[in-house]
Amino acid sequence: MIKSLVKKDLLLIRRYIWLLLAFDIVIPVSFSNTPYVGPLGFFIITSVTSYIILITSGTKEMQYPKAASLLCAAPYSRRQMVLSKYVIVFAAYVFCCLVFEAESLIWPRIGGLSVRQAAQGFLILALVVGISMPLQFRYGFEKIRYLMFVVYFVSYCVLPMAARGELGAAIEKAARLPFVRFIAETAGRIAGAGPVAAVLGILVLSFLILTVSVTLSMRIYDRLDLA
Amino acid sequence: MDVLQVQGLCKSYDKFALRDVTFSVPEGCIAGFIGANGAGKTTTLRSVLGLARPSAGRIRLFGMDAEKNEKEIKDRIGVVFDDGQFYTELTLKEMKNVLSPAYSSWSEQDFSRWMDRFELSQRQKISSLSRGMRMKFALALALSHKAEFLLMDEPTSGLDPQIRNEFLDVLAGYMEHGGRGVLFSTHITSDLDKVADTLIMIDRGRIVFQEDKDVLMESYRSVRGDTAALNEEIRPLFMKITEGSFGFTGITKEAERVRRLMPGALIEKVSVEDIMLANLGKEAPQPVCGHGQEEKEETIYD
Repeated sequence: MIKSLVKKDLLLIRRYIWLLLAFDIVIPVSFSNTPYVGPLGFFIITSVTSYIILITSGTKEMQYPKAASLLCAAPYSRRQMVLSKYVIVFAAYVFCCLVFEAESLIWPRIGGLSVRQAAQGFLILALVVGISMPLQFRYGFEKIRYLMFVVYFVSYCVLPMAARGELGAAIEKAARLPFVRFIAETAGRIAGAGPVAAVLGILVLSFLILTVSVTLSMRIYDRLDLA
Repeated sequence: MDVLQVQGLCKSYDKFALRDVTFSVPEGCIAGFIGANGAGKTTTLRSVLGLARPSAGRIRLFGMDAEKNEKEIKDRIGVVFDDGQFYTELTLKEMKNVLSPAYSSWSEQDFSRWMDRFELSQRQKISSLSRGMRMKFALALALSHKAEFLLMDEPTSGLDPQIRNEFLDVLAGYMEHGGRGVLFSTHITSDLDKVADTLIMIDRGRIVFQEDKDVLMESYRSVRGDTAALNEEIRPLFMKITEGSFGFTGITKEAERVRRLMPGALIEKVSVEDIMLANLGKEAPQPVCGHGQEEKEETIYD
């Protein structure tokens, strides 16, 4: 049944899908002759695609507030409604991976995407979506869309640093609070581990973040009075 | 057996509260849920559907607790809201494809039959439909999954008389199968004159009455007479009096006494609207739930 809800979101944003596809193809190619060749193109298409999908699908839900009530009055549970929003964003992530990989086969200058870089992209997306989605369910899309914009693009600015290995140093510099030190240590442990362990660590961390976020969003949406 | 039982339902908002709302819809019955705009009809229906979370009360559908058996219950309910329930940029087919996988008993055959009957094309965009056609589409969706209970919120508001009649015919046909029920909220009471078996009235968040429609229609009478005849003995016999330059019109539940005291008065049958208007502002006193929402004013129910 989640498949139908995801399909519904895709139908609502269909006019943007071709634009996104064009963007996802053009951006990595246009970066192929610049110093930003490689994962940066991937990070950009991932961030923009997921952001546009979240924004447009949120705008549509805002435009038709009673439609969500109709779906919830049908045997769709509120939990399924929440889960479908996460699924569509991560479907977009998988789509971006496939587009980027396919492109790098055709234009090797783009530079391939390592599993570790793909996992890093997944972690950042998990963080951004993990934070913005519960806020969206709690305060409504209208109130948080600008915040989402800031969170999204600030987060993705950090990615090139991560790709160049500067992230650990930056965190260490800022590491004054115990919480920040904990994150830095966890990131350091993951970075210091072997390639397979590092990827696994990143994925486990991503899924942990998403589990907490999904649970939170479900609880918030479950208590809401729908339009 | 009751298809729907609502007991002690309470829900508070800043400026409005449902207070101890209790009523039921028996099997084989079309229940009209009446009340003025803002009386609490929509909030009650949304609470029954789990779209608004009540602060107190118990809701049972088909004998099952609505919260614990949400999926199973919703699978057996057809819902028609007032306008604005669809993603209007989708076609009818796309909207149907969003909803139909949720229902275990969805019948494509039934859906096509209803679409044909209502002369709707699945390729049309919902935004191109008139209000009446959207209501028909909503009805087609609600009737295509073997629903045993229809819950409708102001489905006929804003529709022309022809479409309203067609809609009422569909309801009558739906009930012919037996073992089904309908709860139909409206402030257009003439629709209920035609199809309702039971009337439930809500006013300012409280249930005023739930009664068999025929019993209600027999209990009330409309009286027309000379205003000069309205003395202190007669006035209290009326629930509502409208005075004009040519006389008065009043609604009473004591027609025999009025007839004796005012032999020249014209006494006639009432409509559902007369009953509703006579009862506005006269909700039955009931225990108040929630906090800080009590009304000091004492209300009297005749």
